[in-house]
Amino acid sequence: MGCVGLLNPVALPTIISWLTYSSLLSMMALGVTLLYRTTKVANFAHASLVTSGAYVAYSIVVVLHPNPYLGVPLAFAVVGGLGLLLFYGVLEPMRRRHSPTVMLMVATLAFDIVLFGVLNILADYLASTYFVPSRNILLSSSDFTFMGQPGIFFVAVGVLSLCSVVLYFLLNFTTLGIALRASMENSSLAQAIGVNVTLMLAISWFAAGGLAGVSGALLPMWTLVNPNTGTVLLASMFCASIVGGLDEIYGAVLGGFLLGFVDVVGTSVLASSIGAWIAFYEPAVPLVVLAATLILAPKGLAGFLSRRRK
Amino acid sequence: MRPIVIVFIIIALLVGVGIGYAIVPAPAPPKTTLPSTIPIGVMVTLTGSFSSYGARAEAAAKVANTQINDYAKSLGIPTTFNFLYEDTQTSPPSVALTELQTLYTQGVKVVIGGMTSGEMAAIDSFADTNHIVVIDGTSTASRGSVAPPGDYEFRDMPAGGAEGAALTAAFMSKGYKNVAMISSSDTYSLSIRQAFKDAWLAAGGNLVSDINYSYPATTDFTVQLNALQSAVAPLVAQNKSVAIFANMWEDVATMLTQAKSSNSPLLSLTWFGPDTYAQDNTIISNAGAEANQVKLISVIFAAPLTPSHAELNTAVNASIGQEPDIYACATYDAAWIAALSILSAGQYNGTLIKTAVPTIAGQYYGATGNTALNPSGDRNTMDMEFWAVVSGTWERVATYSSVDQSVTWLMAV
Repeated sequence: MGCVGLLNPVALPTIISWLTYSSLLSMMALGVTLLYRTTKVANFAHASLVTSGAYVAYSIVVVLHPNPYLGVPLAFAVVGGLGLLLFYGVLEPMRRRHSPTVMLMVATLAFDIVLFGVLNILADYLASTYFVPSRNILLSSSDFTFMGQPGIFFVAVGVLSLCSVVLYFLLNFTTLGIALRASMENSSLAQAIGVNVTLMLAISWFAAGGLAGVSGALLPMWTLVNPNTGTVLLASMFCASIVGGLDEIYGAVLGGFLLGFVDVVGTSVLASSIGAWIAFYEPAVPLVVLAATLILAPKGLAGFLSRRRK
Repeated sequence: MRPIVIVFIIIALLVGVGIGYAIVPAPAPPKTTLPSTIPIGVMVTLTGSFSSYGARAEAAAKVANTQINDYAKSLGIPTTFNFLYEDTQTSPPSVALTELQTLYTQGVKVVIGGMTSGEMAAIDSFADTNHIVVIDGTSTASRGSVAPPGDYEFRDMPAGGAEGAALTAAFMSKGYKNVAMISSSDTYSLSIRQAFKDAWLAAGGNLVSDINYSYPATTDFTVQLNALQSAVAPLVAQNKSVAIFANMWEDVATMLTQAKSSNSPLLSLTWFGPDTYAQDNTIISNAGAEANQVKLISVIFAAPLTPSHAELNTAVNASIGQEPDIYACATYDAAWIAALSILSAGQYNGTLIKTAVPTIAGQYYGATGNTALNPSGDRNTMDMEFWAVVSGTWERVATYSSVDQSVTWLMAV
């Protein structure tokens, strides 16, 4: 019955929307969780890092006119670089001075504000030099279709899967990954046994920035993007990260899919049964899910599942 | 007296007259109490959801600034108008109040803008208390029929309530009796929603759906698309005509493309829209094929192609590669009304300038035509027109007369 329901022509678009939105949200949340696990810092600059990825990809499209998906690797590299800049330029000097975690969080907020300004300068430059709309950009008209479905669905799910697999292999089967996990678990002990903890942190910030860049680069294929978009999505990113559980990196994927399910599928079902007025409250859904999950499973979904396994 | 002496005296007199004429001082310049530099605040949304509108309005204001200074110079007026730009960031409206206070500390007595109705509401009290004249070219939420005493706000756009009547007339003339509406949750869209609802229901129309969504927080429109589909499906099954009124902003492009991705049957219907995205080329860039499919028949206040409008088109296009929309044109006119009112008042004094504005606006003919104001300080109603996406571009498809509330279709859509 469930399979028949899924293939229902009416339900299928909703499922596709859910999976697309959740994949993008999970990629964003993955970066948030990775950074929290390694540095214990909630990165408020993640909002602008995601938007930066979108504008890197859009800039490539405007200047070189390639397929928008070809901007994704460059977005990974550039925004990863921004993550490194934030780490080495702002956080590491503060960390060496033993700044409390709260100050580091505030510093990320300050970096977010600066990056927001830079994005607006870039948007102005694109508009005045190339005479293209640079705010409220949408690239879905360049998307391909496969089996009657939008390409972004296949790409978003595929890229998330790839990122998850690469992260899994990196963390579990490489020396670097083991050193990274050691730094996450106990940085002092890791340092004592010869792990370069600063380098491990830098790699985390690069990876998190890269993930933000990739998710940002794919965002204009699904929804309108302007320099404010990351800020609009920040609450959802953090909700997905917290709901999934901050103790497990893959919790972000669980959280993203749960949040997306409730947001898209759940609200659609509610709207059809109790009235369309509920659609107005859709942005409150992530917060409601967050509150409910934390009441039932304070360590998030991943923590709940690993407790069940034990 | 010897003749030679008389000749000498005459020659000396002639030389004296010549010298006197040469050294007479130049006429004194006209006395003015205007400062040598007049700061005028320009509040536009350069970031945030409405930033594309703000960018066009800013470009238009810059054109006005240059032209106004050239005009003052040509008259020998030793005054330069200096436009100070502030970004109101679209939301929250309280930012607009902070920006106005900043401008006030810089000696600004006249402000152009406050781009959204929410921003205008936020700055109203401070402007009135400190005698700051605000001339806005974009806010159109309905106000009272008469401006209260001591009100320093003027709008050179009519209140948006007239759009409700225009859209109702358009739907009816096309034979639609059923409309499904989706509205953004911002102040302006909600005022349009109410105006349309009142007019539509009064005309006997059937509102099959009235969905609100949170703006700009909504990035995925699956829920809204599903709700609209559920509402119109029974009518479509009975072969009854039904249309969509997408009372949105540029995010209508997202909804259109997501509708296409989900093969939504809503794309087989005709969509109508408000003035928020009529003639907006961002819609064509982002969702041209889908907009072409649904026509996106959108109402907008009709700005005649006056000489200054044509000149403004060229200048703004050269600056940012886009033509000014009606709000940008109205911002341009607001700037000129402000400057001419200041020159007319002869002093940079808010109270005197406020007194001058209605007279100046009544006589001014600019990029949007004549800008005469009604007793509430808003533009008298303008005629409207409908633009639709036809063959991948915006085309003017109908006109609406505010006198007899009738629509004249210029082409079949």
